[in-house]
Amino acid sequence: MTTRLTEWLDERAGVRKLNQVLLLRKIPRGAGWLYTLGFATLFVFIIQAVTGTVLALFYVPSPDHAYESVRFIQYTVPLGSILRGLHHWGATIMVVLLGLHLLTVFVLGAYKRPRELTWVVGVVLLLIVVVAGFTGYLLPWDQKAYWATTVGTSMAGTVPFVGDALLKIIRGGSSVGALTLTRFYGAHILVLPLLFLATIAVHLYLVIYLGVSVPPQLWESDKEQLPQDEKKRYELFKRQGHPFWPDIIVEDALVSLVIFLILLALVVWVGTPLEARADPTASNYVPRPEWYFLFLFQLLKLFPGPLEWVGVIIVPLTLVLAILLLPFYSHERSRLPQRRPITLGVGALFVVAVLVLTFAGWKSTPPADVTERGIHLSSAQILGRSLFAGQCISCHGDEGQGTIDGPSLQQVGDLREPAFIHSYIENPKALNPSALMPTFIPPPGEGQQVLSHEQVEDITQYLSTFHAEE
Amino acid sequence: MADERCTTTAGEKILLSRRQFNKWIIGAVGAFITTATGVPILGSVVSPAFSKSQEVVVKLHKLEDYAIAEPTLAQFTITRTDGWQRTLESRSVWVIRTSQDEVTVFNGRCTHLGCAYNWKKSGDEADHFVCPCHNGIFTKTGEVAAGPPPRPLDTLPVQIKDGTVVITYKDFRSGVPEKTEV
Repeated sequence: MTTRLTEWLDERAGVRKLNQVLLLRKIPRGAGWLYTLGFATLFVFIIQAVTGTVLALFYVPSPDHAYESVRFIQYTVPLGSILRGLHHWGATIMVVLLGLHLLTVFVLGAYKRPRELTWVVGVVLLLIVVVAGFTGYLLPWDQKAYWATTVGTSMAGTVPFVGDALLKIIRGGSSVGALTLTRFYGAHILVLPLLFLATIAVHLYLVIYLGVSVPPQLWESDKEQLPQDEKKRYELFKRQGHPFWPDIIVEDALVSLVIFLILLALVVWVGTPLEARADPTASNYVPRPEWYFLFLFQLLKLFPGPLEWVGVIIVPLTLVLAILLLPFYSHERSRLPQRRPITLGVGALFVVAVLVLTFAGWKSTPPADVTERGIHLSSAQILGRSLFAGQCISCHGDEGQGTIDGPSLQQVGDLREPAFIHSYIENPKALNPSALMPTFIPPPGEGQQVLSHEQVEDITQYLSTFHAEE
Repeated sequence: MADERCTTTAGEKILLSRRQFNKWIIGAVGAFITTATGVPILGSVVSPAFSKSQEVVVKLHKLEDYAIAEPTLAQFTITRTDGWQRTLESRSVWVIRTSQDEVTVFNGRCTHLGCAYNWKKSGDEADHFVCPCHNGIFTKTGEVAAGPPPRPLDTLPVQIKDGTVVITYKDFRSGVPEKTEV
């Protein structure tokens, strides 16, 4: 039966040839676990494409509904928080895997002739992923989204001469708003995925056409009698290798499984952040970029004032070009890491610089210097304050001083235990049947949850800092 | 030797071969379709570059409500046409009553990259405006005291009408030394 079907398909679509080229092709001897990183990245891209498509069924790209629709996904859609979590953490994992994949290829000298184009196309893929990360960031329309985008796009405005036009084209107007959201949304769900697919097609074509590189220590081994001609030598290694299906792909599958489990663990145990709704006037909000932009963020601090654009444009552009064009100026004949001390040294210096800058940026992240009413706020309290500004001030006043709709909270830290505050925010009517305050976490089946338990706890911790003035 | 493209199989010289003619047609069709779709695409994507933001006149509190020499944050909403929707958007300015009948108003966005900054009453940078994003620090008069901001805080046109502070709210380009409206 199977053979007859194969026969039928082969006559009409040439599937045997396809099978031979795609699946049964031999992978040269020596390709080890490090060679699974490319496949793993592709695997996470598929996760992103699938979860992203489902998220798009619920998401509304308009400032008046974006935040609410993301909350809806997070708190109401069954398993929506898992979907959103996979997409959120998938982005992070993808950047990590791309970084490792790039480093592996760099150290093994696999970008050298004849694989220069594979490298260039791969770096383009990395850039697409970074832009996808940046555009995806705005979509939840929470505080972090709004402010990271305001700062990130402002950088484009510092470019001499064309900065103003560039900024407005990216934002779709002079400030971050409805048209920025639709632009980023369109780029994020249509333009970038299509570009990614087209580019990955070229990348994979090149990988299959050229075959993966043989590890340098085997390729340049003088113990073995290897043909001098490179093509003949590659054929020899290939003959000694294993077929992609199923010998190699089983390794890819196992690595993908491990990555997927890490992803799930992050989703379940770390959770997916959603801050308060974007507030363009929040003067206490400390925006921080996503971790993979932290090194750029830290770098900017080294280029103050009118030199800003050097840090914003010249340095990153030089770096990208240096990486992109690496195969065309790094001319060592050998692929062995120990015979390429200068290239490896510069590469290591670059990696260390990025790590140090990232660490410094991350260190400066703890907003320990945020004080209010003379009290240093913890990070939970700062999150609580941002939620307070979004949920509570319309009735309790912007400093908790109270309005006609809600009592003053300025001594609530003296009057109530944190546990009471927490329970009261969750469901005021359970503690005070005549309460007019809305319910933020109703009992199951009785209306929509507005805040998560973590968010209520953040607000509780913030409110616990409210003490009577001495 | 004669150009092959202009020679028939019989060796006759002609002006233009059928094949060459076809290539030209393909090129022309391609160029026409690309231009006809490319111009509207580019036009709609690039058009915001020529937009100007709107100025809004905002009434704040009575002048006498502001304590002298104490920066006060004033938040208000403006109606902005944001794409297809008219939205109420919050904006903020810092009001400093400099004397009995004078007042300075700063746009609430840092001149560095547009973050909202804050007035510090105590701590290390007491009596300064501090931007949390990249630690830009401004004096009470708006001058840059430290950090990356390329120019002083942006003052806004202000008038006192019947004792009320009335400002003309505008946004300025951030990250550049010149104060230019966006």
